[in-house]
Amino acid sequence: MRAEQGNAVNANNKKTRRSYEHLSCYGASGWLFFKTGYLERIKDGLHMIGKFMSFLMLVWVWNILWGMVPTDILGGGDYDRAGLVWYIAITEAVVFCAGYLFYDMYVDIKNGNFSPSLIRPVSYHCRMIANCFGRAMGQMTLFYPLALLSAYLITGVWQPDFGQIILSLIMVMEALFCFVCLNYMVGAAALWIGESSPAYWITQKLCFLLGGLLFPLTLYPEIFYKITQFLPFTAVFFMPGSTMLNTLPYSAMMMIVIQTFWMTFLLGLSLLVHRCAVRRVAIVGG
Amino acid sequence: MKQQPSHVKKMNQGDFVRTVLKANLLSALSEGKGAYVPVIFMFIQNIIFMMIWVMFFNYADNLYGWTLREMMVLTALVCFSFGAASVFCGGAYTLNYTVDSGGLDNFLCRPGDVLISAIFSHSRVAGLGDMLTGLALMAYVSGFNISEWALFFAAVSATSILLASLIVIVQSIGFWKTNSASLSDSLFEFIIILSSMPQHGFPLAAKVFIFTVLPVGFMGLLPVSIFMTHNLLLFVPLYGATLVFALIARLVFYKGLEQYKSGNAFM
Repeated sequence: MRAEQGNAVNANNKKTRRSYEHLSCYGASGWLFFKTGYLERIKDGLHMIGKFMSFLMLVWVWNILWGMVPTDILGGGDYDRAGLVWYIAITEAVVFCAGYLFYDMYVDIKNGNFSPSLIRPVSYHCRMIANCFGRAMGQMTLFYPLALLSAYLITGVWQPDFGQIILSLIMVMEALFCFVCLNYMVGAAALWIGESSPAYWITQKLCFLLGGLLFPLTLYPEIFYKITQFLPFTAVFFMPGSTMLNTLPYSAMMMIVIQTFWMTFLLGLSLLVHRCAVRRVAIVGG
Repeated sequence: MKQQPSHVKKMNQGDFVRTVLKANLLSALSEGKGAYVPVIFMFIQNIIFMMIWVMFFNYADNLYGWTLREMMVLTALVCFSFGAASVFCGGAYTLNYTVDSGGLDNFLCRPGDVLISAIFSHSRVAGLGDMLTGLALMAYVSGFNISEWALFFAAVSATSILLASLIVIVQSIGFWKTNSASLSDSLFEFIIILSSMPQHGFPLAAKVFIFTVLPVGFMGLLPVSIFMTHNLLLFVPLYGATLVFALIARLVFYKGLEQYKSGNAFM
């Protein structure tokens, strides 16, 4: 009896240890893939120059466009020109840091490297998400300070205080993670429709429209705004961008909670898509 | 001297381009229904993006005289030009990569113009979606107004060539700098974004810039002005600029080609 109990405890311990080892293995390799992606993007200076030029031009043009709109119309007086330019500086920074991350997965699928990589000890999903998030964060490390500086130089107003900067930094990181998960699902679309780019175009433009890329969702017709609140796209642009405005849509804590919810939701959804992709590879080949 | 058989005719550049375009389109659409997926998705994404401007003008009403109508004309012009350049000159978009990978050797061996062979080497079928967007937006704006359709086609004939010339210029960076495809792509993205923004409120210095150094004003502001004022004289600077930048693109490409001789992967 006692021996049986001892065996059960041993088995339990072994199981716990194994799952702990499994988790730490995932954590360590995830960190390595993240670091690889991060360093890879940090080194790609040429890529940054072109992107930054487009970014700078966009923010500058929107500064001119908002200057053409009478001040009393701007959010019924709630917003000002500088605030809206700072808003777009943050949302565009997200776009420029996390665009086209699906491409590696698409290439893997097209070259037939997707199915061999499924037998590796660390899941393809974990590897890809970690690497893409690393690349997005690498780009952000260079881009975020430049985005703040550009918004300041273009508007001539330093809009955010220290608290707003910290909040926006957290929200931009979370937004990048959401965008990376969306990118993973877009990359996997190649298994069904043969191409990933068309899926990316639609996802990206839906994010732009329903996430409030160019101006806050609060400026949309009310019914439209209410619908968008139930969609994950708000976590990608509207929430991080709003941190630069004088009036937040929710309290800072509530915004972080909502964005964390969408992060978890999109991660779960990407995992589900990954499982469907594996099943599809098992049926029709990779 | 060996004579050519009488049935072998010498093909001129125009015939060559026509034949290649036909072959490219047939090849691009040979996948069957799958080939139309990018076309449909491109059309949908453009319409979704247009919706953002609908929201904006619903809120801001007008920008110093520019309303949603002008914005639609601008988007129609840029989309159609971009689409036409993609469908007809698909090779121009990957010129930098072609140079980097030594792929230009294939075109150097062919008879005729290297630049023409390279840029007409393949077709990007998704461009049909852009062209379709341009036509749909114009149909919404002008309906059956024949004179406005004539203005539209006269304008896009020039802007498509102008855009293709700009693509050749930015992609030719590859002759001087290896591994610079991403830089060329980013610069091209810059051109497209700037040309699709309302440019009439730009300060004077910026207007000078977009009508000289980076001629996106000829792709956006000028054609929209032609459309708004129906002033046919404005076609003179539009076609003039198109010719000048086409020549510059050709000059830049052939200057770069001299570098290619000594520094490519093939050598």
